[in-house]
Amino acid sequence: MKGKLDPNKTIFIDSLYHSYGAKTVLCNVDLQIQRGEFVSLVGPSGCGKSTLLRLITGQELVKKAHSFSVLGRKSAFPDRRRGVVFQGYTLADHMTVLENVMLGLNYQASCFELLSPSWRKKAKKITLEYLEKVRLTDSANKYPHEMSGGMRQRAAIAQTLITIDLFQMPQILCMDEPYGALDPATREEMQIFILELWEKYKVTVLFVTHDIEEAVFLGTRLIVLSQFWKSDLQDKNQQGSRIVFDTRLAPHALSTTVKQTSDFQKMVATVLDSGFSGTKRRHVKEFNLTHPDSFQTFVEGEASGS
Amino acid sequence: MFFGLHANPGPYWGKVLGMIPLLLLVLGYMKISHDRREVNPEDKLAPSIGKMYEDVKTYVSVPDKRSGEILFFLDAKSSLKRLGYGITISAVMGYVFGILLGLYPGARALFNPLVTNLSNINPLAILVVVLITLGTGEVSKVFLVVFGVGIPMIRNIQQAVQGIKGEVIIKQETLGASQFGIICRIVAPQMLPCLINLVRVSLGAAWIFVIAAEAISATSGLGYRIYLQTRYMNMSLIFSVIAFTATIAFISDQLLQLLLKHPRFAWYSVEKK
Repeated sequence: MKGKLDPNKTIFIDSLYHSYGAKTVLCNVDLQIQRGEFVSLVGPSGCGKSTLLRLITGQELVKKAHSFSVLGRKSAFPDRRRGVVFQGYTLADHMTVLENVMLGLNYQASCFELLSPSWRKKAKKITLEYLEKVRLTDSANKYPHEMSGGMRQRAAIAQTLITIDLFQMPQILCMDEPYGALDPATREEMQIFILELWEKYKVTVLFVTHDIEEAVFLGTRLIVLSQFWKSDLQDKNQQGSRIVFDTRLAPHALSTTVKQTSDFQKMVATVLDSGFSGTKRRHVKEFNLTHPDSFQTFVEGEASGS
Repeated sequence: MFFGLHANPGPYWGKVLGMIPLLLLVLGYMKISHDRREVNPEDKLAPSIGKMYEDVKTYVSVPDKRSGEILFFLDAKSSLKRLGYGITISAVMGYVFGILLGLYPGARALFNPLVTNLSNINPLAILVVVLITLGTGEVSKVFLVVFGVGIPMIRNIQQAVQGIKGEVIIKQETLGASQFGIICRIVAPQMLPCLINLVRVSLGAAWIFVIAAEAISATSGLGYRIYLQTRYMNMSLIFSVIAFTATIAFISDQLLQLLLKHPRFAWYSVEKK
C-alpha cells in the first residue's frame, strides 16, 4: 500500500463492489483522488467505467462498499456539487443556446429576481460572456437542432462552466465519453478546449473514455479499469473490473503534436498492455499502481502466494 | 409525372389531382338526386343543392316560432360550448397528470393501473350510465368528452414525458435545479407542442362524443338537430349540419397546425421527423 489514505480526499472509495443481478461489474475498486486532478479513466468496453462514474455522480446508488465518499459525503442522488457532461448532448430542445446556458443562473435565482427585468438583462449579459468563452456567441439564438455535435457539446460544457465560475459548483466535473460522437478534427479541438478550461478553473475532472490516446493526452493521472486480471482465487463468476493501472502523467503543453512523440506512443502501448487483453491477465500483485494516491486492498486469499 | 414510385405531381397538379375525387363525389350526388327527383319530385332522400340552400338559409336566418331564437346559432353555441369545455378540461387534465405520471415513478405505480383500465372502457358504451348518474344536463356531456379524450391524453403525455432523455433531467439536477424548476423549465414547456398536437388529433373523437351525447338527450345542439330532423327525413338540413361540423373540424385543425408552425415549436417538428 503506497501513499497516505485520506478519507477527506475529493473522492475516497475503498473496496467498492457493484453488480447487476448475478453479473459483477466492479470488484474491489479502491480509489482516492486529489482536488484539482484531471483523471482519465480508460478501460476495455464493458469494464464498468461508466458505472463507476454513475456511482460518483449519483445516477446509481452504491450498494456495497467499505467506504465511499465523494466531496465528504456518502452516495447521494445527483446535485450541483457534481457536474456532468454526457456523450449524447443534453441541451433542452425547446430552448435556444442562450436560454440553455442561462439555466444554471435561473435555477439559483429567486422569484423576484426572475421577474425583474434588470436582473434578467444582467443574467443575459453574463451568459453571453460565457458563450464567448466557448466560441458560441454567433449561435446564441440558435436551437440545438440547428447546431453541430461539437457546438452542442461546447454549449453543454458552458452550462456547467457558468456555475463553476459563479457559484464554485460543481467541484467535480464528470465527463462520460463526452467526445465519443465527434469527428476527429472537432475532437482534437474539444480536447484542447477542455484542457484550457481545466487550467483556468482548476476543477477536478473525471474523464471517461475508451480512447487511450485521448486519455494519455488529457490527464494528469491515468487510471485503467479492467475486467482482465487474475488472482490466487480462480473464481471466474465473481470477477468484475478493478483498477489495474494507475499512474501520474507528465503535464504537457496544449498541443496535439505531442501525440506523435515516441514517449507518448510508449505510454499508450504500456496502457494497452496493462489490461486490454483477455489472454494476458496480470496478477493482482503485479498491478502497475505507481500514482502516489493509489492504494490497493486485497480479498483474503487472493494474494496469498507472496 | 403522375405514375410510378418516383412520381412528382408538383404543387399545381397535385392540387388539381386532389380536386378530382371531390368533384366526382359532388357530381355523383347531383346525378343521383336528379334521377330520384325525376321519378318522385317530392323525394326527400337526396334533395337538390338548391333545396339545401333554401333550408340552410331558413336554419341560419329565420327565428324559431316557439323559442324566437335562430336555431343554427343556438345549436352551434350549445355544441361548441360542450366541445370547448370538454377539450379544455381534458387538456388541462392530460397536461398535469401526464407530467406527474411521466416524471414520478411513485405516482406512476399508484395511478397507472387505474388509468390503463379506464382507457380500455369504451366511452360510448358507458354513455347511458353517465346520463343516468350525472343527469341529462351539460355535466354528463362534458364528462363523456373528458372521459373519452382526457384519459388517452394523460397516457400520451405520460409517454412523451418518459421519452425525455434521463440524462437531460440529471444534467438539470447538476445545474442546481429543484424538482419544481425541472418541471417548469424543462418538462412542461417541452410537452406544450405535444399537447397542442394531441388537442388537434383529439378534436375528432371529441366531436363524436358530443354528437352522440346530444343524440341521446339534449334540447339543442348540432347532434340533437341531426337526430331530430331524422324523424322528418329532412335530409337537406342533416347534410348541412354535417357539412358545418366538418368545416369547424377543418378550421380548428388548420388553426392548431398553424400554431405548431410557430418558430418556438420548430424543434418539435424536427424531432418528429
